[in-house]
Amino acid sequence: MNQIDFEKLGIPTVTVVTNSFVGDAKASVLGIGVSDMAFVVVPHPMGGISLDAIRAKADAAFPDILKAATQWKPTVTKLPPAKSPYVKSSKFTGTYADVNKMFFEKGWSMGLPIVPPTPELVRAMLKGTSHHPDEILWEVPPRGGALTVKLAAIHAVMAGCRPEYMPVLLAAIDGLRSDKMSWRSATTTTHPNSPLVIVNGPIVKELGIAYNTGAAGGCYLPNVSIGNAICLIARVVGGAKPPDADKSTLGYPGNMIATVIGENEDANPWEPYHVEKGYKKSDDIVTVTVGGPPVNWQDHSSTTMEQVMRVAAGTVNYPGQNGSCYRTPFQGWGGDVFFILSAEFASLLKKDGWTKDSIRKFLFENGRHSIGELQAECVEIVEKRLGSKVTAETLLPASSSPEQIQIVVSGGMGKQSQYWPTCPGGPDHAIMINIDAWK
Amino acid sequence: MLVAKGREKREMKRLRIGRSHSKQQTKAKSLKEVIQQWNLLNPEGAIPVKLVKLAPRLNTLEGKTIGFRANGKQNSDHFLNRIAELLTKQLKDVKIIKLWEVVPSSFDYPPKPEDIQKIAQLKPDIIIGSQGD
Repeated sequence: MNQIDFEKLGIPTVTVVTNSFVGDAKASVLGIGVSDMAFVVVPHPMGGISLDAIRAKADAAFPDILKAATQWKPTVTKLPPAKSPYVKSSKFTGTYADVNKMFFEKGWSMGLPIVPPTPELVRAMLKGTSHHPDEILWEVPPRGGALTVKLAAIHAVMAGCRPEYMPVLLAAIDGLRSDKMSWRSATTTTHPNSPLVIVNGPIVKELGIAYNTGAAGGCYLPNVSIGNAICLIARVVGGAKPPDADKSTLGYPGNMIATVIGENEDANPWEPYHVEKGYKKSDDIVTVTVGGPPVNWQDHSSTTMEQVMRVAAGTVNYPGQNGSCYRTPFQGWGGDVFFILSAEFASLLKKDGWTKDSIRKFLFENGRHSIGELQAECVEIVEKRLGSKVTAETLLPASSSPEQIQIVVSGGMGKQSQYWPTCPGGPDHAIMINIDAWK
Repeated sequence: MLVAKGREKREMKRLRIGRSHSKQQTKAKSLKEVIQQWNLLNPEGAIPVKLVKLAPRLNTLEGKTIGFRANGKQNSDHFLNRIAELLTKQLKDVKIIKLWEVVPSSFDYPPKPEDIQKIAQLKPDIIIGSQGD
């Protein structure tokens, strides 16, 4: 919850936060120039308890809230001095293993081995882009570290990227830094959000970005190293680390290495994703979103594609999905979801006469659950959203409109595919960036 | 003589094995324990901090307009509803605005600029926000 904007307008604030999240709250405010805020800490949790229990917590917190509202004064904490974004270098004596140990202990890596970022390697990496090394790309939330092109190159070196991968990495950062991505929200919540980066255009084959069998599974240097660099930047420059800033309850490997895949344009029987969105086939494009984790679905025995699609529809709206009761039809709430079809399913669907639009329509109409199957208080939430009465039998779809179901073909042969849900607080729509701008 | 030659051959072989083993040991030692001087670039990034001045604080809530801001998660509104009841009972002339009712998207994170303005136009003297998680 961001209350800083009200403080800037001269309106004092008090913020109630649970003891499990107060570390996250304090870390976040430091990154935006506030040394202290009036927090009132209550025992976790607040959600998932009865009305009587939450009222009792309010009773217990009331004296502290009154005190925070009328007696609290900010303590004077020394903030890090404001300084120009520049990259420091330092001398270190030790073995390669010692360098890795030092980086991890300082919070400069995530525990996987890194390639030590020497000036020589970073200079070589910077040859991958024409952008000036001192160009400031992003003050990465929640810590607010200034990411320059040079700093991105440092992380690219650490992650094992080659210089020719830099334009893809920088284009992905260009997408993630957009205000519409809600990066601060996405990386500090309990939901294990991670970036999904889809690459289209000739650059996929030029760089050897995997788009066929196992494309999302590791073992392909461009995919893994770019994904690794993105997460290093998020953790180290942005400070989105568990347990304080990144509150992902459990997390998953995508929080360590972002998923980077090429679209399998050879196997896509319809138009490539970027062409569908108005680009030329020859354009090199990156599509970025934040959400997940992905859900795999399969159907090895259905004999009709309609039955296969019924299995898919049942997958895309699983009841435990975050924000499932927020996706009221045509209310514009809830972000794009990604339906990543394997080469085999795409081919079979096309042969059976399906188009991307008919797939979307089918999933929107059939991928629904009744509100009664979703989490408690869904009736109340949906009624507030719609401004009208609903019942437990009212059906909710996986997205707020068919157009928010994005269809991409990636992966190889095999009757398996993946669904990537979105997350409330994340982006409404994926962002597409032309990689040429970063070459 | 044959025996002596054989002994000599065995001795030479033993020496060759010994030298090779010693070379391997040195190579292994050097691979394991290469201590060197590194020049490394810091991957953290400086924080260009612009200090934010907090709003002046209140010394009473009596006669004040209090904006309540829930974060949209379960029970954040119920918690604030109870705080509102207690304030109204215990303090004089307190006006309560439940922002989730008048600006439904007020719990968006980050808040939209237009919503911040809508809330400011309601002229709250203080905003009490609560998470529900």
